[in-house]
Amino acid sequence: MVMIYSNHLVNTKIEHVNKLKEETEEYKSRNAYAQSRLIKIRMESELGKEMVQDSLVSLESHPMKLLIKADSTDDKATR
Amino acid sequence: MIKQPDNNYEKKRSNALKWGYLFVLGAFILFVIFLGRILILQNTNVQEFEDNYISKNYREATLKAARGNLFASDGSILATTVMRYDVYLDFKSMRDTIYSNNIAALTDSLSKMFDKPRSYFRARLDAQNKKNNQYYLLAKGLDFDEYDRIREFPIFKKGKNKGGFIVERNFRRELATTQIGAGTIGADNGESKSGLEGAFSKFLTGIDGKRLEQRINSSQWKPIDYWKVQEPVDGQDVYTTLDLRIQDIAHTALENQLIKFDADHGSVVVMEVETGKIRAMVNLRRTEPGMYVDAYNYTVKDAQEPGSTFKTVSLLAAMDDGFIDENTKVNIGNGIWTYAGQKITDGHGGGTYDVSDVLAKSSNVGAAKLITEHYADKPQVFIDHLKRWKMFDKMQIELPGIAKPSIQTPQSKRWNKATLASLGYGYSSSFPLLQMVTFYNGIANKGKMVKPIFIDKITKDGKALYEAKPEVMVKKMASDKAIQMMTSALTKAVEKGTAKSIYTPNLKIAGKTGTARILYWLPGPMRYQASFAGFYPSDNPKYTCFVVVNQPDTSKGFYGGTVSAPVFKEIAGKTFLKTPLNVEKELLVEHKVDLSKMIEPNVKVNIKKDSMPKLVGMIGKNVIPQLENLGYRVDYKGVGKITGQFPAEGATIGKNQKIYLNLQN
Repeated sequence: MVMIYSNHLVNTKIEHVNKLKEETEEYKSRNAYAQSRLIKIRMESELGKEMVQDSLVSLESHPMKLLIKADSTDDKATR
Repeated sequence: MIKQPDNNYEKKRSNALKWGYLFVLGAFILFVIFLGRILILQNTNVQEFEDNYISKNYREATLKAARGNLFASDGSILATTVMRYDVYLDFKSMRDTIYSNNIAALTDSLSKMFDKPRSYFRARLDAQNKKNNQYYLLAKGLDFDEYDRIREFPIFKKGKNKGGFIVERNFRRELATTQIGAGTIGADNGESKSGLEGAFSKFLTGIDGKRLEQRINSSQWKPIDYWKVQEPVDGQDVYTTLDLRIQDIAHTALENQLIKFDADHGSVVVMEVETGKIRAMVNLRRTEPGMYVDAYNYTVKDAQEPGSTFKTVSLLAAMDDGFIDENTKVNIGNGIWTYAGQKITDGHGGGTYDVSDVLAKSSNVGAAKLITEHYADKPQVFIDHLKRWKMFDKMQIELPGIAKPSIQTPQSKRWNKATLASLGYGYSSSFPLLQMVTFYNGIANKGKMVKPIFIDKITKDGKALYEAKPEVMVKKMASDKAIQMMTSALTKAVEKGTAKSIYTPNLKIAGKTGTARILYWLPGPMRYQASFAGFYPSDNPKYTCFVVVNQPDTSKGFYGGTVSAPVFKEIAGKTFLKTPLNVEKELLVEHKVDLSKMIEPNVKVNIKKDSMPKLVGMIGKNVIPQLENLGYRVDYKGVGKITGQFPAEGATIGKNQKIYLNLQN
């Protein structure tokens, strides 16, 4: 009786482990799926298409950085 | 008084002994029977026993090793193994009341999900229900979101036993993005290998494990003999050198140009100058008008005559030998020259060119004259240069199937006096695109030719097992002076030569156009391959890029400068678009810098002969300031693209007239 009962417990545990394994695989797969979707939507070409619908346009020219040289005789001058 | 032995005790003892002997005898007989039975079992009906019992209830299960992932250099997944779901229906276990009460709602949901009429599903499901089908395939290859949605539909949400909802899970290798498509990533299905998947299969593939299992019910097995388990070893993760952002830029730029010129196919390769890492590789082939797919790696597998982009190679040889320098002049004449019976022509006027003009104006006559003048008596000296630059060697790269280069030499049967001249301007030879990129990259890298590499690193459980280092193919391709001269000439080609259409003051580009006539032995219309090779920024090169557009529609254009160079410009411009340009205040004050030229609008609005141009479709922020600068008054509503205009296109417009524009939002 003890053997039969312990065998039953082992089988129940195995079923549980198999179920958890399946879930792990599914979560792994969902993670990969989510990552690949994230890559797709963060592509500049994809974002550009979305932006057009909101009347936004992609950057067309470089941003400009105005450099003001600090005068060595003027401590207050900033760069 | 002496006590007599107790007869009763003796009697009991002998009785007990008798039963004891009988029990032992019985046990012995049972043991013998047991042994005999074992012997019989072991020797009779062995096969039948194995078939009926052991093979049905025991198995050696394979523990599948997970295949490693393929990443871009920034860690974005390129190819991964994901689960897909097949949905089957068991109408026998589906309760009749549940079916009849919910079928309308179910078909409604299915109709919305699969974009098919409700009647389509109703007819099919009713027919299968009537047949009591226990395994009806409803949907195949659903992704997780779709599966998550469908399992909540009426009837299906009751599960397997009441709702008859059966799900089968399959693993499938999938690409994360179409930007790096099937041709480049390739596949490894066991029978055939191609692309990055095939090339790196030895790293990506793990080692399957094994274990013994015993059946515990119809669908589940339990492992036995734990000490005998052979654990699987998962595959390694491979980080390629591809930069997803540059790849995206290159893909979009090439695809748009292929559609515009209705070309057969095209390729782009972007290589990092210092390291040789391939940052983008795009190959697109037309499947139907306006539709291009990444299905074949032309960059690696095809060898083509390079055309004028090869003039860089031939003239660098002459520069390195000291035959030509910045003072060398060559008379192009009227742009037509016959040498050894072969007529060589330029597509433009002649005159006297210096060496940089020969490259900048892509003069076939100039290149042929310079090469034949110095190497006609000793062609082997010229050929030896190409050998030193590894142009005869099949490249040793990580990707399989690279084409072998081919160059006519004095030892070839087809060699004649004119062959040297045609070699000089890019014919009588063929190279895979990757080989030409490597050469141009050597010039950009100040004469150090590095091998193109595709693997950045290989990791296992987050630990790096291998990290790529630049591999030098040729330490010094040519003298510093020759490299400097060539860089200046290539920069001039963009500033004033055949590629001046892509000149921008914001980014220094050095490059060479190429327009090669291909398949000239075939009848029919002339076919061309337009190319542009170069590097940027030319004063401190970071990337080398090669663009090829094969068989553009000649009525729309076929020159390298008009077809391929704009793709190069877009890639180069967008790569550094987020880097701010430094403008010194003093230069602005002293008018040494013209900001209006630096911030040139992409679209110029011209109003010719007081005729209203088409403004619809343009971006308002680009158009409105230009109209106002031209002296017109503009009234507009909204932001974004222009959706409506008054006066209409082609209408006459006076200077004081007001222009009304409707914008998108």
